[in-house]
Amino acid sequence: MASNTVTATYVSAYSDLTKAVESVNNCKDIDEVANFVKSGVEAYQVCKERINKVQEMIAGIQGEHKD
Amino acid sequence: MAIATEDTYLEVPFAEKDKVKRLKARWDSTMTKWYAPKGVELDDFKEWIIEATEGPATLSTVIAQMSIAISRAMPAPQWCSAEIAEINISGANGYFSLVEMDGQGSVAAKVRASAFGAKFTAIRQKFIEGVGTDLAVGMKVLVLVKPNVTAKYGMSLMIEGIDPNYTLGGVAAQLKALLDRISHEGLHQANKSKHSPHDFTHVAIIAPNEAAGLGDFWRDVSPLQDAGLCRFSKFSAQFQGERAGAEICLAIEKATQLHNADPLDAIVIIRGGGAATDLAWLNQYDIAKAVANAPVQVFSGIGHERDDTVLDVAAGKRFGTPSKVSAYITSTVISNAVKAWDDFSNINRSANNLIKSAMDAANNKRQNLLSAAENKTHQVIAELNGLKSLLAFRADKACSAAQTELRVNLTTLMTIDPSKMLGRGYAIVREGSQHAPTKASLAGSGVIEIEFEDGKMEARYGE
Repeated sequence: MASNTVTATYVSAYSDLTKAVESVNNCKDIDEVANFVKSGVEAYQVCKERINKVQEMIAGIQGEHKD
Repeated sequence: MAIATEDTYLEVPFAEKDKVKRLKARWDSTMTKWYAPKGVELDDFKEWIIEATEGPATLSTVIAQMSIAISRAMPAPQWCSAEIAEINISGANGYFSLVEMDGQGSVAAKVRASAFGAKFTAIRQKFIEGVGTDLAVGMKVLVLVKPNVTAKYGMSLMIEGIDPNYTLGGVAAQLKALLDRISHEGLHQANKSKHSPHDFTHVAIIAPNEAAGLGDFWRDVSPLQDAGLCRFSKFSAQFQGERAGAEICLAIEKATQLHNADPLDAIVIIRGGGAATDLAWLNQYDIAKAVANAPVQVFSGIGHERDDTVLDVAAGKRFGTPSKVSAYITSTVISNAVKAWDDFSNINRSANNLIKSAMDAANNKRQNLLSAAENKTHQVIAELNGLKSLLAFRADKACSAAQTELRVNLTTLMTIDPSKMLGRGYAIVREGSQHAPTKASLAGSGVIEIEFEDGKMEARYGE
């Protein structure tokens, strides 16, 4: 049965971001930080547009409420 | 004087009703006749007493006698169970056909029954409040009835009351049987075991045609659609009436076809308000089966918090109202994005902190190294200075010793100077260029040179 790959891509990127932040937070070796930051940035690139849209939507809703 | 030993029916013209009433006659609403009750003086009612006529009785008289007999046999209303075979509600009046079925499903007894006006309205209202749905064909009911025999319409029952608890029990038993079947076949778990969506970009909405009650839902989700975050594909279906089950199943089938071409995250089945009594239309096996076979999780939000329908039981997630479904979808999309943003910010912050800590540590290390090197240098210089002093001291000492030794040697040397020795009477003997300090050292040339303080001379030697 087909699955929604668009959603799955975002969910996977969200998960990768969470893993990356955990790895960075638990990182003891400065030499490994670059790899974790890189994977976090790559995940962020995937969902950046969606995050921006949500921020714009929230701003729009808050704007409506102010009006 | 004749005292009435039983109720005696009277033929009273309308104009004379007050007169018989004063004489303690009573009104039989079923027979629509006045009668002299048992124990009264019959002579008072002589002019209205129905006399037995000569020849065959009229049909109305026979029916009247039947009515009297039935009334006597069943003086008070009686509860009986029956099934509604037909129902016709016209204005404030209800007309029924009640049946009793035998074990083989055949009609064992059948009778017309009716209730009128305010009484029927009250009975119906009480039933709806108690059972949660209106009177309908096929329902088993416990009715309080009394016989009604009229000359014009014959035998029927007047409904004095309907016990909603009896029917409720029947409906509940029917629903329980349905739920047991769904449970036995695993239909209640099938959709719940589907992948639970963690975000939403495409959702199918199955809702009634009338969108009036869904205003809040669409208002909540339209920002998601407008922002391009999630698409909502709508399918219409009736949610009440005989077609409800089939139309909902068809809508699920259409949503499944859409999913195969343009995958969905969830199918939402919502009903924007409406009577709680109409929930019964959603208690259908086919709906449960369609939900169980749906390709993605089904969310139910049919606007009723308290009672679970079969749809709710089979659904992957049950939400009480459409607004709760829209709130869940919206909050999921927003919270995912907000968390992702927080995570990304945390990565930046943590990485910067980590790098700063590392740089601080490196600087500290460098500083420590510099300090250590400086200390070491000072230490080495101090050691070198010490060594230098020691060396100078020892050199001085060695020089002094050498000078002393030299002085001694010089004195010695001075003492053993050959010229000085020659002056003291010693001579130097040479044979050729070699000194000959002893006789044995002579080479045998026979000529030697003797040096004195004041000069040299040759001498010859032999054996």
